[in-house]
Amino acid sequence: MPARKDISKILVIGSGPIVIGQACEFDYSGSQACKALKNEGYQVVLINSNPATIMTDPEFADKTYIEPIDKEIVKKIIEKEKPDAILPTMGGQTALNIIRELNKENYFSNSPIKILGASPRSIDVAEDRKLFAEAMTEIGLETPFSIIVDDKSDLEKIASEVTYPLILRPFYTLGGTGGGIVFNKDEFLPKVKNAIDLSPVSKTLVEESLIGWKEFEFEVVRDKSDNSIIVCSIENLDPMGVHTGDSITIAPALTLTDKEFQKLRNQSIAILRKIGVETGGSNVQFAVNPSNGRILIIEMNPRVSRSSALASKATGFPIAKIAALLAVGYTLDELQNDITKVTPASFEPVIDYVVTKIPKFNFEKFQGTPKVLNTAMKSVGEIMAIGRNFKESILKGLYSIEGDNLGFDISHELLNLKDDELREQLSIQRPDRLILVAEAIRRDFTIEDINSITGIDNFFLREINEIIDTEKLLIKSQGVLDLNLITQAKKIGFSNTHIASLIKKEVEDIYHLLNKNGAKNVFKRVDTCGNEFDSSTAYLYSSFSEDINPFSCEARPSNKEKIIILGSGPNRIGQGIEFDYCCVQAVKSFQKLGYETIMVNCNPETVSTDYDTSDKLYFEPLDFEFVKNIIDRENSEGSVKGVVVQFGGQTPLRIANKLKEFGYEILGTSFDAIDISEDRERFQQLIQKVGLKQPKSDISIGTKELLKKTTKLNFPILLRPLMFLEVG
Amino acid sequence: MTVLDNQNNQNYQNGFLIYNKEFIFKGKFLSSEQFKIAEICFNTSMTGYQEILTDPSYKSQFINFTFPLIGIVGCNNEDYESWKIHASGLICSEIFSSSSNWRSNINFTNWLLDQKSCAFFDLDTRSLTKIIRDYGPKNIMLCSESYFNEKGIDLIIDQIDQYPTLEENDVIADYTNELEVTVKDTKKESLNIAFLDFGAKDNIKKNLSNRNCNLLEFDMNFKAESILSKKPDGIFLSNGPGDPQKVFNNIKPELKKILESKIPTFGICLGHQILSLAFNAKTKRMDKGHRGGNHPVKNLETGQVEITSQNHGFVVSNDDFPNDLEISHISLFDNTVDGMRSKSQPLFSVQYHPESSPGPHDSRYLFDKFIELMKSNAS
Repeated sequence: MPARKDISKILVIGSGPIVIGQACEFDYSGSQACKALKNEGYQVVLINSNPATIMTDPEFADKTYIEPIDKEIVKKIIEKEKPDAILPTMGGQTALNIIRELNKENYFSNSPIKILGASPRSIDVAEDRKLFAEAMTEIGLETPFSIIVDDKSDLEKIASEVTYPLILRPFYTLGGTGGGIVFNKDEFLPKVKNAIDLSPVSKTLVEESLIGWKEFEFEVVRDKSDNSIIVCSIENLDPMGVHTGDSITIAPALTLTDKEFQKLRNQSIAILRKIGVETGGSNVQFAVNPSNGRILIIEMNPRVSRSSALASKATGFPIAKIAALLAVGYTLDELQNDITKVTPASFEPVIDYVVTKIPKFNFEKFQGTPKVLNTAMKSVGEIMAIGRNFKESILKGLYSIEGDNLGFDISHELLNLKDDELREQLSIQRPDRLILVAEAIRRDFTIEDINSITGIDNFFLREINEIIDTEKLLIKSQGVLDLNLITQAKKIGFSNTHIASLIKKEVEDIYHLLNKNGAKNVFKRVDTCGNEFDSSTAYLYSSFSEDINPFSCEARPSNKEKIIILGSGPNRIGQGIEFDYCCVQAVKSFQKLGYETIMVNCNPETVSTDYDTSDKLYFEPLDFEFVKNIIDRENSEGSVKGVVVQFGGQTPLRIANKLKEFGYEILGTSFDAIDISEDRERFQQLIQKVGLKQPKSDISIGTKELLKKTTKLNFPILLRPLMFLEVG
Repeated sequence: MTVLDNQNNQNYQNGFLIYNKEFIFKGKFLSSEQFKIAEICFNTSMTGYQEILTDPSYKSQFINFTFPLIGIVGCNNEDYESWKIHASGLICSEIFSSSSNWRSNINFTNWLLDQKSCAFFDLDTRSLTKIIRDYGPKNIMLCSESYFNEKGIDLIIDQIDQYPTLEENDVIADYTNELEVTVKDTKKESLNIAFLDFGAKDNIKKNLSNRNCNLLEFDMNFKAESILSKKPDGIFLSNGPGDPQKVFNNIKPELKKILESKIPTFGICLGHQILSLAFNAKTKRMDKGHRGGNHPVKNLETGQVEITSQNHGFVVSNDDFPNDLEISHISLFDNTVDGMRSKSQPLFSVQYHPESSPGPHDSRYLFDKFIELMKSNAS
């Protein structure tokens, strides 16, 4: 059955401003949906208050309202535009909440407007924990013990009756704000009261703690004929207790046998049917007891989410686009798999690599906030990395996250921890816990020991152990170029730069050694099918091979003139979606000029990492070595006219200097001009030279110098760090 | 498992995978033998290696797993699909010798060695998949580095060329020789099924037994008379290895007598191909085969899509499809025949694996359909 003819105008609700727990993934899903619906000939009306989004660009919708996403304003738009249908499943919880609120007023009861994707009833059942638990019981599935409390509950009584630890999940808060773990009776009252206060409906769920259980997510897509497919399974490296947005997650799930996997698959589909998600994508979260396989259902989201953005990028299956088309009446077998272009969208993607997502934290921007993770999301962005094995994937992830250290290297502050202090810190869900795990392995803590402290699966710990063992061997071989050892390190994902720093050699020595022996960086395609079919879509990631054949590298550079655009990496405070907007616009303009556009980025939430935004997408760390490999490969046929660094915010600027040093052309603003504007000292000199005024300022390194220099200025003074993300 | 493990694990050595003179892969060879020859195929399943390796349909084949990490969850006593590993060996990117799953009771590499199987790993299996796809399934050799150096490539190519092909090889006869069939009596309160085992997966038997069926097992050398004398409620033809034409030729006269009885009949995979041949359809070798747990199949009766588990290198041809039969299911990957039913008698079959294991459970309804067919035939 092709698209519905009974509707012609669709209102798409966006997600508004970026907040912790709701970032640019909804720009990605919303723009995909708008594009797909417009393509089908529907009139698309969009409401979104966030001007930094790509979806609010005039070409995405027929009409765009940049207005607050508020019930009354949505009503006004509905009255003015008279849409036939509303698509609320692309704008996160914000959009779903609008439908709930309107539905509460019975706004839709006499209205001909159709709600596409999820019905108001299904949104209620999925969101209301009591209704959800009841629905699960009806289909024979288990949810954790739980009780809902509000400001009228007898909290004292409950506090003395329950078994600790408990988890708090306040209702309808973005990213689970106000949620957390209650370890004892003393903590119960203050924490529960806070959760109730933060909830817009003054309610919170208090439930059985599943600390140490494993957490899995399944991304499901269903059509109106009840065809369902699992697009992707995701395993959280962090056990239950850390918000999935703050967990390091791996796709596909790696520690399930087929028997367990199929149980989760069957349950996911049963849940979609029960909740009544007629069409579209949903995310189902499970807890699995590692000692006996007992499965509990944690939650489901009847909409696209950050996980579905990740799943789309991890597999190459565009969930939001397909969900939008299913919402207007298509069935999965009628839609084509965009990547292979020879198979239908109704199969389950298989992958032949490992995907790692690592969240980005900005605790330094929230002075006083303890650096501890719990069930309320705290990360501000994320990166994704692809490797042919877990070790390569996680190392590439660590190279992508733009931390201060290389890979699992530990910071000076933590290096001084005594063993018992390290053990104590390991038991805390710190954002940098994985680095501590690596350090514990370095200090010969046993895997079993670390597993019992952290709850991280032995498989992941053994993999990190192998990386650390290799690191130790590299350090031992300092000053020597041991081909076997270096090849081995390359296979598990070490970068040349990292190896060079460990063995105290120049990076060039390693390039040279590997080249001489025919070992190479290769690029593989993300193709949804494990190479069962040819893929014409150039969505690539790098890996390493010592044994090259004509099919090892799938970069297939064209003989055209190319421009490489470097993206902005993970979102963080001070660098959000706006740079993605710039990159996407730049790609379009270069395409109009007839260049082949090549995007490099590692942020899975973005539009720039959609495989059809640019002519070619490299999902890679925005690190000099990785970018250099891409340029060199692309230069082997045709030519790279230059690299654009000015649209990606601070991230690509970090490597601009090196690109220039190696003789690569930087297009647009020159490196020197960028440097003048970034370097306050040079900027000051420039302002003085051209005779303009600037507030008095000075630069100091260290506090002693600072105190001396402040005597030259009048208080109050403003302190600003140098070379930082656009401050202010 | 990497080279670093080599110090503690003496069970594997450097080796080569020889596809032909042009494509030779370096890797690690885990085997008690110096070399092994078999036909290569690839499987895209991301879970269920224990089930796949013990599936008798893979007899005399090397399986190249496109999923790069094999062995993470170890092996256990429940996930066998027969009594042993039937595949000739496996090829994968990385193999794990420690397991991480509560059900595991033996680690993967020890299990392989216990089972006298072999593995070839630490190679670029993605480009190998492309080679199988472009140049077709064929006999290849896995060998140790010392064997390779000793024999030299020309001799090795000769060895591969002289080795019988899957069509020439009588794999089903080998299977039947090993198979122990337990003779059972019919049960009054159950549906009695004559279960023709050409290489059946255990989960087919489980699915039927769980539906109150009593399985009267027969191997390829069955006699129609002994089956019909038991007055079974249904006939089942299982999956199995090898060329369907070869098996069909072996059993043609006996099978004909059984089908003439018009007892409700169900076939899976090889069973489907044999039944189609019995109604004068043709089978043919596929370019690369269907092996994986993500194959979309359309049920032409309901319009529903099922995600199925598949494992076949031969297929029933759409050309000259007999009038007596009707195509009931097609593959949405390449529109090949994935299911048929008879227009004149209670008989149907599917090319894919409704018992899955590994793979999605979307098609379990077919077992219910078989039960219905037997019940309505009886009443």
